[in-house]
Amino acid sequence: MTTEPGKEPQMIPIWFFIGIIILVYGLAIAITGLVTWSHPPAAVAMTRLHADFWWGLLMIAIGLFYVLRFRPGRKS
Amino acid sequence: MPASTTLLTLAPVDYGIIASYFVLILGLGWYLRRFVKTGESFFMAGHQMTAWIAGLSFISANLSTLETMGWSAMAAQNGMVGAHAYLIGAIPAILFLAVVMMPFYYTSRIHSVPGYLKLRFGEGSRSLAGISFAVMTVFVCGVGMFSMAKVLNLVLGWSMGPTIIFSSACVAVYVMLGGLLSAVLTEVLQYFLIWLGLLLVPILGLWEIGGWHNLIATIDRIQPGMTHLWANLDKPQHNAGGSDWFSVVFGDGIAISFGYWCTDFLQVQRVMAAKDLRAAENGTIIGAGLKMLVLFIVTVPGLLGLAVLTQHGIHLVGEGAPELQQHLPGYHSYNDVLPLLMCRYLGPGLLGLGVTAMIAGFMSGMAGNISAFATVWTYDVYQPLLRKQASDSHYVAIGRWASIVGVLIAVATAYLCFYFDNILQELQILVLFFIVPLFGTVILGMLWKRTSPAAGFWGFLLGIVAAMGQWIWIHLLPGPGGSGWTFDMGPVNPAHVANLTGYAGSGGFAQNCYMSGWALLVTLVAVTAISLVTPPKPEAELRNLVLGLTPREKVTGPLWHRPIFWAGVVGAVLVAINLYFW
Repeated sequence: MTTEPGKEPQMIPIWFFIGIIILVYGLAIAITGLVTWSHPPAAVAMTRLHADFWWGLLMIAIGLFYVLRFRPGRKS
Repeated sequence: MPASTTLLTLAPVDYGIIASYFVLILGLGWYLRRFVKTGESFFMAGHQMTAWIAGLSFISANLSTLETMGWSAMAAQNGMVGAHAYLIGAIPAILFLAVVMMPFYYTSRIHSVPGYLKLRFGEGSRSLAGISFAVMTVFVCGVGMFSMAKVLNLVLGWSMGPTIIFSSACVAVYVMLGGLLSAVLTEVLQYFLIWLGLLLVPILGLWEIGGWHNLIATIDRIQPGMTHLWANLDKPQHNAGGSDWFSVVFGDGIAISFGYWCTDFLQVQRVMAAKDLRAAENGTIIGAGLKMLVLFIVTVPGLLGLAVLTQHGIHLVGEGAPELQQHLPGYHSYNDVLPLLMCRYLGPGLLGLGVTAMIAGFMSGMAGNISAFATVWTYDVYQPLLRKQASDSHYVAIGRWASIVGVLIAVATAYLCFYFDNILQELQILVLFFIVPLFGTVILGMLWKRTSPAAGFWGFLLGIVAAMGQWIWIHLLPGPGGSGWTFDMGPVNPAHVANLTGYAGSGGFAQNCYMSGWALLVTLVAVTAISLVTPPKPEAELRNLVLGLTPREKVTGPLWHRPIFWAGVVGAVLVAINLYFW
């Protein structure tokens, strides 16, 4: 957030915060998927698809889009 | 499945994901506090919301974890019939709100739905609605807290007391700091978390079972007649819930749905906070579209639970089944369907995201209730009844204090639920019975200028009495030895149920539909009759409040810029879904 003299502070768009959390979650999930790639939890079904890794990558992409598109200071 | 007594077992990464959520929402509340200094910003989020934020918030306020778990359970138990809550039980009402009612709410520049009653009917109706709504809102919030603690206890083994205290403290802090803005933004965040956390469950489930057609074929083999929306509603005896088409159309589709979506201030406040009327209308229509999408993460998992889990040695039974009382291995309540599927398909990391989505669903629901309570308490109870003239900053301070006091009352209500378990179920029904008469009163007030102030108060009151009277009636049981009557909030009297629904075996959903339908009818008749014998308000005082006396903004430009066009598109999708799954 930037405040210039005589101007009201500008609120950072909610989409930026959403992008941050999705990005962080995506990283955590993708890394976990990578770590457990060769020895997935036995109690979980369909692990051959490695959904955690791919879902994590998708979330990273979505998160990055929102972070870059709505980052503070970017001119729309 | 894990060998522990809880349904899910979390890994360290899951706890990290859950903790990040709490850090974010508290940080967001802290950040937003500098933008929330006036009454307009605290109670109406500064009227800055775009259509998308308003729409996402509107639908998220309704998308609590009780909702996702409950309707998944409904689909597992009763099949596709449960999907009506996302179709006829929501969409026509939301579109009606957008196209017909929103212009009145928005152009009258009110802070709340009771505020509309004040302008239209006078102080009596506003006070009745304001006080009832304030009480109901904090009670519902308390029930939400208790439900969250109970679910997390059952699913994860977390202690209920600390869960209630911690979650309520977080809600109090971020609503007190950021008001409606905090509530709305956490609801938008929740919508993303719910989709990202739960979408893999139906995707992987459908993958495992071999696609949609195999899912339907499997269910038809296990339990025929579960895969239709309407085909089994010709008679209540023909479906598991004891419902019929009449109760679904007139009870759920009109009374409950229009009451809830068009006059429950918790919902309406979200779209009233939009930056202009067009954004409010479009936001509501976006909400209708998003509501139908929720079917995919609620109804499909419910159907998958029936098809997949039963093939893997899990038996789903009703909540009071003897197998559950005896803790027989492999037996679970229908309510466990969603956590069981999460356990089946989500590994470490993904499970943390799914659980965070559940927690976010509860938290944003509580925040929504508390922000609505703070608004109604300040503008519809405190200002008219206790202190009429005060500065804007005084009312903001009252709103902040109301947020904290509201949370404290909600915590007390949550602890009350430990002793009176039936409150959990019945309180929400009581809310419904308050909101349905409110809709009957508001809609006549909006569409008929002859509706009088006296009718707005007495008709509304009669509607509430009729709704509660029916509820008491079905819970009146023959006394010991057949003498007199006893009242019990738990069991119902089948003979009295038959008086209301025409069928003694009607389930809870069908009972609610019929009671709400009758309550709406009583309200409409009472308001109309009283209006005909009492003096109406002068027309000069009804401008911007009543049809015919409210100028409508002319919408120019191409067809696809008009809200009515998009309402038509959503309506057409609704019809198509109903025909396809008939």
